[in-house]
Amino acid sequence: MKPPYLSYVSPKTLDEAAFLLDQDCENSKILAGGQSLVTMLNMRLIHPKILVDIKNIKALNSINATDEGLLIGASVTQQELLEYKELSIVSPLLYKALPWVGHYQTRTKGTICGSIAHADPSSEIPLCFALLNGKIKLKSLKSTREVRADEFQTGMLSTACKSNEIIESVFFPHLDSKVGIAFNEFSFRKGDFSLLSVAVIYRENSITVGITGMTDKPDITVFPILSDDKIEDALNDLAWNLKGIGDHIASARYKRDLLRKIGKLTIGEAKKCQKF
Amino acid sequence: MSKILGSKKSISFTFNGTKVEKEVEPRILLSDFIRDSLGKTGTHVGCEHGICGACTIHLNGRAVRSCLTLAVQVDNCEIHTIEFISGKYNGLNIIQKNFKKYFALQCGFCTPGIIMSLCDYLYRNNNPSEQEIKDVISGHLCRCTGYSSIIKAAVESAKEINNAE
Amino acid sequence: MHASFVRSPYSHAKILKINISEALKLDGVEAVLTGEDVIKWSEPFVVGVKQPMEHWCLGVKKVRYVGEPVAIVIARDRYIAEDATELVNVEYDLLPPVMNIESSIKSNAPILHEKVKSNIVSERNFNYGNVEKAFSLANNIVEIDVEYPRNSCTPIECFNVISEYSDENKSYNVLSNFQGPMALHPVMAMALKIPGNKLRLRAPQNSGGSFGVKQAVFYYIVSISLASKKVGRPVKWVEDRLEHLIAATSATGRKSKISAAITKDGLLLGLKIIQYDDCGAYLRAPEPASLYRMHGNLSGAYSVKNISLKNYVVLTNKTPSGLNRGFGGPQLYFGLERLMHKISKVLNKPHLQIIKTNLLPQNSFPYKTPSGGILDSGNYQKAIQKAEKDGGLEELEKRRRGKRKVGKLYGIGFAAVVEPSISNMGYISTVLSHEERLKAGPKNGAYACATVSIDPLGSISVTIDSLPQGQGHQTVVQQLVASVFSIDPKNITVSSDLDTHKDGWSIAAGNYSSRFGGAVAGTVYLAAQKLFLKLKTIAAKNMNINVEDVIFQNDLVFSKNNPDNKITFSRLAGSSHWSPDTIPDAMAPPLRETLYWTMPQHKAPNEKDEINSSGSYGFIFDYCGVEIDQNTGKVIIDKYVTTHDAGTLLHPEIVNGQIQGAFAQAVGASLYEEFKYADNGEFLSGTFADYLVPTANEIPEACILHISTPSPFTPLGSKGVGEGNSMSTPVCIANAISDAIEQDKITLPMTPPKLWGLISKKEDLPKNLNLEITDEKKKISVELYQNYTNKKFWKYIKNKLRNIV
Ligand SMILES: Cc1cc2nc3c(=O)[nH]c(=O)nc-3n(C[C@H](O)[C@H](O)[C@H](O)COP(=O)(O)OP(=O)(O)OC[C@H]3O[C@@H](n4cnc5c(N)ncnc54)[C@H](O)[C@@H]3O)c2cc1C
Ligand code: FES
Ligand code: FES
Repeated sequence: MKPPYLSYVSPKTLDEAAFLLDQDCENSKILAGGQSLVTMLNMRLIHPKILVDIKNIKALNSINATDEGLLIGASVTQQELLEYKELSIVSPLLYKALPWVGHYQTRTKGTICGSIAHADPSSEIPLCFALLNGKIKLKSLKSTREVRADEFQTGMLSTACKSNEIIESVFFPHLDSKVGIAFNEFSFRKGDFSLLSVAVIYRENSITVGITGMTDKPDITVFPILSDDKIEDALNDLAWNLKGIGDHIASARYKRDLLRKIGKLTIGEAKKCQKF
Repeated sequence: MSKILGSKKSISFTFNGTKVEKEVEPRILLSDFIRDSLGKTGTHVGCEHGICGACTIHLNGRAVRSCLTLAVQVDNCEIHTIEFISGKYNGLNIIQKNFKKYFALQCGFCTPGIIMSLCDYLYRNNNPSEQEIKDVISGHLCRCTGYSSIIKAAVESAKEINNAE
Repeated sequence: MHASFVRSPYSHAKILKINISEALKLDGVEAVLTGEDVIKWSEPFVVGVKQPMEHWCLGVKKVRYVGEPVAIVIARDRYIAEDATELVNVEYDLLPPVMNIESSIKSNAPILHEKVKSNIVSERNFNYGNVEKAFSLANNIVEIDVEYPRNSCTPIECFNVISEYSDENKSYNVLSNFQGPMALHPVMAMALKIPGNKLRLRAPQNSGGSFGVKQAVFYYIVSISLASKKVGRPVKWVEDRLEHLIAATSATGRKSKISAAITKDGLLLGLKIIQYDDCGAYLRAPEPASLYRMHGNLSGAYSVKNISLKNYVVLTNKTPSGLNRGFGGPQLYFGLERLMHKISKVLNKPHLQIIKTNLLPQNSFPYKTPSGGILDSGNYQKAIQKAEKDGGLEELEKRRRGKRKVGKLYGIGFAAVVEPSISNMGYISTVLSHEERLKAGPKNGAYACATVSIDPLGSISVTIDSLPQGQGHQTVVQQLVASVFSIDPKNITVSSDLDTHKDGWSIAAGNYSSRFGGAVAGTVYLAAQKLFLKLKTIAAKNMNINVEDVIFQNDLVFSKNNPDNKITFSRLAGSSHWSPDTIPDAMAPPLRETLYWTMPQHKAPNEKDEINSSGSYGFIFDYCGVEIDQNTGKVIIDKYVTTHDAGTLLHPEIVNGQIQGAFAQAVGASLYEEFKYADNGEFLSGTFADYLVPTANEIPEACILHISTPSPFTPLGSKGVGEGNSMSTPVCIANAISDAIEQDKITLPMTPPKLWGLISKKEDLPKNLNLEITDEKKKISVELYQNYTNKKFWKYIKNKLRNIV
């Protein structure tokens, strides 16, 4: 379990990073927190020739709360964001979701953007990103572009980020302070990647439900405000729509049931804390 | 990028309070580097995929996995390992003393990592709840103790650290 | 030089060709060891049954499990070695794998070892008492089929081997975190085709846990030794976690069927037991020991007299099995105690009542079991009484009623278990027929060895042969010896490392079968006592008083009648070194005492196949309350009470640490851990993200209680305690689950999806109500960016942030 041969560069500016990446982008990888990347290297699942470490790019290490939302630079770690003052008010969704991401010792290095870039189908941060329909800023040598969440993650471990692009920052729009928010997940052990996660935004006229664990990427569905038994029906239909992927750990049926149960629980929690 | 693939890099960093300069191949894991090049074997290796926590050290004051960090990445950083904790307190610190008191170690293989996590977390957070402490310890696997003694030692340490502050 | 293994990705295949030329070209690579070298320089390992099976230290011609090593790259460092393993090109011809016991024993199953002609490599029948009669007298016959999964206690430190070959002496010098039993030393030496004294094996003082698992490193000691021979230099191998999970070792999987002949009160009249052990692809020493370690205590804590037993050893295309905490116990008791639970359900009587009906009576010890075990001491009734009272059973039953009233799934489980310790190494030969045993010569070895010595300054060194890996043997021995000599424990050093060239050892040496408390500590005590008596005699002569009047206290030695007549302990020690003529005649030099101890109760299996497989037998009674989360199927252990009788407790904190530790591992085995394979042989538990070791959040604290009936057979009255909960906890939890969901077929690990499969009702069909608002979806997301109605709120936050920063 040792990484294969590779070169390492740690540029000081984003432009420099984009330039370096452009040299041989097919054989290069951005190194952020390394919590997924170095694991894959140790297992020799990937053989990149060059790692472009972004941790020394000062400009990427900032969290900005603007009127519109929260702008998070590419090297901000999950723990830094979790400890960001008043995160519970600024972004109750991330505040509720982040403690579920790995462990303290992995959050201290793992980044917010790295998690979105990695696009594990059961990750919490991509789910929040999708639920809020955030935006991601991609930088390449020649251009900068923004991609909305609903167009970003294309499948399991795949995104719209091209091999010559760097995620510069991610933007999570604010929500109306009256909305109710809840997050729940289920895994065998606390701290594992989840079998199923559910995040809910309960608005005045609608309920947005975000789910990971059923398909190869987060699924977002909007319901109108429904009575309790109608919610059950809605979740049942949703479970059937998404079907769920069965494997040796859990059957699709089990995942559908988790969705029904945890979905209901989470919608209930979100409803309780909405202030309309 | 004309450099030869994998060629050595020169790095300088503070290791347990002392400035160190070394040449290192980019692919060398920090855990191996600490054990083999720096000769400090208190940092253990149990899985090399981030789960067991035996390799946990402090990177710029934060508990991180040294098995998921490349040694080249610590250029200009500050590293602390279990040897520093023992050295600094000229014996055992509060957490170590409580580990001893509560028999919170058996083979001791997981212990340095857990101590490093707690030395970061407990000194950073006032009055953490038992559940919060458990969550931090859950970033480590211990096969010997069944955790209850570790949790007791950590909870007691949290109290003592708070009282001392 | 550093080694890295090339391992088979397939569970069953012929090796057609191994191409190493690309690997050898890589800078820093020294050599590649393959099957060709192995055939030239070594022998297959000896096997415990008489079968023409070949197990070499690398896969030769064929591979039989995923992860089986086929070559070793030897290079300047591990990184390069791993680079080169990617360049070794092995061509395989795939064969169909057999992945479980059922398919392995089918008559048309693919055969693992062609020469054996069957995957069943051993079959034995045993009969004790008159089973048929018992069954004919029964009011009722209750049957249960159970399976125990393959798992492992996975120490956090993996295997390590450094071997150095000396061409001059044709010998190997090995340092490895091997844990014994040293019965494997001859196995390794024979495989290396050298006399025993050419294999110097050293094991370090400290090692990162073992729980039996590091027994299996012996397999690698041989191949790494050959790697050293290949390059003529020392070679080091550090196993990584992927290697460990995929190929190190595993607890034996077992499938068993037990039928009980019972009276209407649930009294057991007879048992028919059929056991199939899944030992993986090779029968690797000491297997099939899992199947026989419990032979003497087959009947558990119960007084049943008539037992028939059929034992089968089965091979499958999986990692070879080996020692793993509990070894044989979890497997046996899973069947026996599930059966007791089932009897209670069939008879509609409380489970505990059925247990009590069958317990051995208080005054029956030492008790000879039908299969030849001699249960040394115990008071099972007293232990249960204590558990009921001090553990709060009534309260727990009330809690179950309360939970059930509000519709929760809540169950209580029990388990009563006899915990054997100090293996009689001869038990393994029970796998052979009596005739075969006669031919091979009797086996019943179980020497423990300890040395206590005093240096001229009066400090004491103790050497023990128990190879501890975190169980605090050093601490216990220090206290024990300090108490014998009345000196400060700080003046005592304990060496628990082992060097076959310098230390005393026998085939029984090592860290297994919970032999420390009963055998090793006892041997230390006897050696210390012997030395102490000598010193006392010398003191008496020096001080001119009677031996009886010599008092040792607080590092001083003085006369009972005249405390002023005294010398310091260190002075006395010094004089035994410096002035041999002051030592009474006919006394061996009193500087050092090495003692070997074994038990007269350890006999070889007799013609009736009776075997006292262990030296001492503790008792455990467990009960627990579990609740099933009705949203997810997760089992939540609400309360766990475990009561032990381990005879004399040498160090209560260490004992409790062992109990909680074994309990935690057993919770893992019950709810989380399993080495899983797909039907096509693919291994599915290859990382710590797939093989789920519980963390602090998953393990509750067990309520630990003790009673003590000292063993009459061990020097200190103590018994082993390290493995009990590995045996009792899995079945106790399974019984609680069974009680909660009122179902019989409980298999481990009981993961949430598996449990869900047992309790879920028919799935609701879709109603296709189209409640979703698809067009609204876009609108809302747009609104997110444009419509910040609550501007006031944002001002508030910004102010707040400013204040903080
Ligand atoms: C024990 C353990 C438990 C974990 N549990 C969870 C969990 O429960 N939930 C969860 O979501 N995650 C979990 N993780 C993963 C963790 O959250 C990772 O931190 C995250 O997936 C990746 O972030 P990173 O900063 O470490 O990225 P890296 O590992 O450095 O990179 C991951 C991938 O993203 C790419 N990448 C990273 N940053 C950028 C960028 N700015 N631009 C372009 N590409 C980029 C990299 O090239 C690489 O392909 C766990 C990890 C561990 C070790
Ligand atoms: S060795 Fe780093 S987490 Fe296990
Ligand atoms: S004390 Fe051995 S792993 Fe924790």
